[in-house]
Amino acid sequence: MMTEFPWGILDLGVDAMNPNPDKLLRLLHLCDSALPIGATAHSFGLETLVYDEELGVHELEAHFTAVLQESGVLEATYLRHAYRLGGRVTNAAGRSAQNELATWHHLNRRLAARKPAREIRDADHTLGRRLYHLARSLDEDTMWGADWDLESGGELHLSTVFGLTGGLWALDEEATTLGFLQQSLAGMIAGCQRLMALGQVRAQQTAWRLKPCIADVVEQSRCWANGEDDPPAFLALLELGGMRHPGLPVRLFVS
Amino acid sequence: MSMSLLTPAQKNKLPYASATQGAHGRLGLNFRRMVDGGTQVDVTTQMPPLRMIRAFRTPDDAALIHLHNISGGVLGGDALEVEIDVGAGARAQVTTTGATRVYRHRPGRRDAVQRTHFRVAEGGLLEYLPDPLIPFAGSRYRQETSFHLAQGSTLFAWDVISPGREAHGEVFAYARLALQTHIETHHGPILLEEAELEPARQGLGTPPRLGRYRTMATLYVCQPGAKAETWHALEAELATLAAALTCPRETLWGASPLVADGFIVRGLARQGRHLVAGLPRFWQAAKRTLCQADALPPRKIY
Repeated sequence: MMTEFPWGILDLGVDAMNPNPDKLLRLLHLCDSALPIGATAHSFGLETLVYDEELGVHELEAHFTAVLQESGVLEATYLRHAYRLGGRVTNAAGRSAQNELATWHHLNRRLAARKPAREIRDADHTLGRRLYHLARSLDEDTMWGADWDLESGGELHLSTVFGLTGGLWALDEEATTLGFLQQSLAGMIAGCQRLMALGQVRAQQTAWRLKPCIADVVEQSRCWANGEDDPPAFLALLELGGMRHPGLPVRLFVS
Repeated sequence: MSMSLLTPAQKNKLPYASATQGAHGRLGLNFRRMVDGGTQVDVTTQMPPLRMIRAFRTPDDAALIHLHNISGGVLGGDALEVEIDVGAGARAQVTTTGATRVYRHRPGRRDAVQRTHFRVAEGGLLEYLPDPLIPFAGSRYRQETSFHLAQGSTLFAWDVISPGREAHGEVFAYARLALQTHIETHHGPILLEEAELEPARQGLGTPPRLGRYRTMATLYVCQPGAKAETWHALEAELATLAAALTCPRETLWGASPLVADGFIVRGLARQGRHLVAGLPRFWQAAKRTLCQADALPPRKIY
């Protein structure tokens, strides 16, 4: 029996009665919030909003809904582009990697240009590079096909590396996208627990209630990834928080 | 330059061949450096309601022009296209005759759209300083602005997005506002901004979007090929100015380097006049650092 979602069958190679353990475990490994890539050091503008008293505990659900609807769709769309690139490399047994280098570079450069705040952009590059090198160190058997860090000019992004890895590992595209968004949200909520009086139960309840929003974002990102245009994203105050973060008198986070 | 900057998808959206109601205005301008060091402006295309009346020579020998919409504002169905080339060594200051007023959308018409494309050649200087955008209640509008900058060119460009006719009690009463700003150099894109604001659908007042603030202002400062130490100096100066002009819970300013070759300065405020007054100060600081020259505002109240 296959797992059925509104957008169709979710195929992790997962049969509810006889799961493919390797693919499922690989995805779970990527999505682990404890993955040692340094994500806990970055607030992506959140710390400034809390410092400026622009964000309180009672606004968190609305805040994260907006973040998912805006940058969530953007990151998920780029993840899908990278996933499909990885899939093409895998399907050609690595032979098409050279053909995809320009696409990879272009993808990462465009996503960088979508992030005007340097701290947020640099944090994303750092996490992207760490994830990439961690994934390569974990799985030396995968035909990576190229040095994707070198080919991006150091402008890797967490979402594109996540997607590339999912594609190269032949995980399900929908599941990879879902997993990335779930991991990102969990990380942001964990950051809020360090910045404000947000208890464990309330944090989990907030994350739980945002699952339909994540599902909707995944649906939207598929439409955007199948089209020619880039999705819009409007997070002016959060981006400004990223720009102003270096000037905070006391900082818990690197960004 | 014109159509080559548009993607196929964008070209297909151009309503030129359709029988869409609304004005289809075009304005094409070339700024050329003259032998005496001044800048001449040639009008290559001029279709109402867009017009340029004449150029004015500024004290620093730039050519100042005002983009003029003779219909007084943007109406539903309007498709307006402006293309400006700033030649090698030429200096252009482009502003508007007043705020861009976008009127209530009329049912059955396409969303209004204005596309403004700039190309700046080596040694060219472009200062694009339009008045604020005021989207009226019920308006539907798309604004696309693109800059293609050659090595050694310089750009100062700002925009101010107001929440509506605040004095009439219209705050976030517009139906849809799509904003696109692209800046490209020979390295590729250094800034891509795509935003869609639909107040009735989104919560613009939620923290990550606008929070308690109503007006947004942005200044783009670019100079492909500038030295790293120049950018370091400018970063320190802009950060100091942003901190000085920030008034928590009223007006926030921040500045950040772009992917390459430039900076972005962004402000959010509860009252737009604080942003309009602040932008020229950032512009002045940036121009002194990058060009060793003063910023000379067009004859307006800031």
